[in-house]
Amino acid sequence: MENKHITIFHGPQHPGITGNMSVELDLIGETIQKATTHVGYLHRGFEKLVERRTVIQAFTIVCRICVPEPDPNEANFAAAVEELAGIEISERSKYIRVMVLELSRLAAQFLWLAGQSGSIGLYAVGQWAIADRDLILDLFEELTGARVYHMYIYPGGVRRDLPEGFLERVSKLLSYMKKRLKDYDDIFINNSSFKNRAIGVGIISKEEALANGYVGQVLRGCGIAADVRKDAPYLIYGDLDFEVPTELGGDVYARALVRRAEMDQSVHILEQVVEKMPEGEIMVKMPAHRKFKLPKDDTWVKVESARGEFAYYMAGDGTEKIRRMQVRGPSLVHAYTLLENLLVGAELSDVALIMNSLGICPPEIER
Amino acid sequence: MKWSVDLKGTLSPLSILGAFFQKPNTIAYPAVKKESVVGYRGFHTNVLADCIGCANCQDVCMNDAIDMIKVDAEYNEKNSSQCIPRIDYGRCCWCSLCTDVCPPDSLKLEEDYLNVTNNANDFLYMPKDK
Amino acid sequence: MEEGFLLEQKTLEGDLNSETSHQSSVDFLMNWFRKRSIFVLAYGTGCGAIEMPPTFTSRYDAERLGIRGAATPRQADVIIVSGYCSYKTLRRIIRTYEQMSNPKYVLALGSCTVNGGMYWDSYNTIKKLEDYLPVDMYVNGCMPRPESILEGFIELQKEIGAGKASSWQKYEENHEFYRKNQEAVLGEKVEPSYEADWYLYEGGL
Repeated sequence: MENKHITIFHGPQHPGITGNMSVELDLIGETIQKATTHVGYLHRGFEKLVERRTVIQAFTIVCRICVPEPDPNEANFAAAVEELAGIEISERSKYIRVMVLELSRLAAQFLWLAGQSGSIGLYAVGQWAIADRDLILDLFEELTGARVYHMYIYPGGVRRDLPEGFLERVSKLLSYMKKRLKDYDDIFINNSSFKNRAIGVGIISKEEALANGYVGQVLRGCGIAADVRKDAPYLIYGDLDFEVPTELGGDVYARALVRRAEMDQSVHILEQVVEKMPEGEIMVKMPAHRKFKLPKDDTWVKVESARGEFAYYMAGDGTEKIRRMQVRGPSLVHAYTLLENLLVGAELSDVALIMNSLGICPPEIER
Repeated sequence: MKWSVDLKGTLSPLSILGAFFQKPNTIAYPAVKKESVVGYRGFHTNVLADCIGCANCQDVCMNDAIDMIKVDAEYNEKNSSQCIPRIDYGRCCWCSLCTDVCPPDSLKLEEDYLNVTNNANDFLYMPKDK
Repeated sequence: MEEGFLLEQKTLEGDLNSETSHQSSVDFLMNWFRKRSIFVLAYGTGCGAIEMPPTFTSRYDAERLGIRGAATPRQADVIIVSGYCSYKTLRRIIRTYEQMSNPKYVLALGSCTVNGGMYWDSYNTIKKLEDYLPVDMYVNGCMPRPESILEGFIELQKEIGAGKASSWQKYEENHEFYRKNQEAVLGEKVEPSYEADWYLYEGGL
């Protein structure tokens, strides 16, 4: 008896999907013949909303473009405005911005751990990872006043100074993290169930990755060491000492190893920042929000978020409103081209595994 | 995908059983409440003796969440418009730009954040006077 | 005159209009069981889905209150609308809501469901959720903290226990009102209407 050809929606209401998007699968038995991505469930029209707000009013809406990791958006927006208006920020605010970005990167990698382990059924790892991520969110609450949407990296500096004893609490958290990350090696990375599921699944070749413009861990998992913090350093990354980990496998396991090594590197960077934090002002004096005009110019800035390269294009036209802002997140190419190619020939039970390893975040695909 | 003997990979996850002997990290809300953090962005408060009714907060709010209305209360004598702000929590996003631009520094955010109701009209909030 | 399955269904649902009826002891017992075991549908519709993992895992642990996740709408009691809804998502939420079986509740998180929130002037989001679905409980915040979400569940449990949470009856009684708003916004892509008595009046199984 032959298996029938059926079409199902691995759809928006599904526990095994990373956000609010859907993949339409054509199956024969359990093997996927064709996959089509459907996004657009979260479109809010950011690039139009920004056009009717002044620059300072727009800074509060920008962090909601990427929900699991809002800080690279704020850093990009602030960097674009500062480059257009010609503002120089102080050393202390640069160090504080790097600290916030690295803490946010660590929190996003914990969220990835929970998703990846949940996709193969190891739910205990997810419980540990979300609880550890909450400790980082406690630090954010103390520093910025909110757990998830910080609205802290302001054009011109940062909004509040560090509270009393904050750097000691960060150091305590970092020493706890160094011990704890070794536990994750035991229960997840070296776990034979994960290795049996992940090795050899979702292989991407080096030539395909370079030809299609993949970014982030997808590229580093194929053996190419590309990282915006090393190739085009911004803020103070040029003075810090860290490495860019790569693996040669190109499969789900290689990307997991790359992410695990990046968590170690984030802890290492944070230790250096805490040690070298200088004194000084945190905020440059900025004009009132209706008098702050952007020149008639445009610019392109980028940062490295936890999933890859994140870029902004911003153009001003001499008034206090932004003329055009375009956001390019890392998940756009991964969700369309890469996912549709990788899923052909895969099994149905591997869809959640592959989606989590690519790090697809739907809000930044359609803003 | 061949199966091979992987003793380390099979036995090392069993270290998770050590978590049985640790204290649980659950914060058992509502019996146990986490201590509130200084500087958390919660509800608005407005000191009426300082508020001058200049409507800077209404001007900077991009969600149109602040309305300046007249109520029956003790105003500052410098309040020439005789109006004070009322916040619509169906629009507010707690960005605290309104507290940044307040000239006499009377509008602030306190640490209280709980409001659960089944009626959508309960979300028009008059800031407390403290 | 209902008979058979429809009569049993009506007896189980009872008359939960709070002003005109008081609870019988069977109703009280059923509501006590219902409020202690709430299954939440696994659907992250918007921004607020980022604060749902901390609520349902070990740090804030909603399972102490009897709340756990369900993968399919046929077995779920509560659908959490966590934030803004674009028109495309609204169509899926309505379809999922109509597939859930009674009694069912809607918990709306965040300021975007109350009056439009941050996207009040966007061309692709809805401004008031109550025009399209009946809401049982609103939780304040942007995004609401896990403590706020737990407080929302506790208030919902109190309403269920007192027999007052009857939004699904409001949906059935005022179906034309909700349907008109949904058609105005979704146009010709609105879902086919789910009536509970299709098998009696439209040709049967």
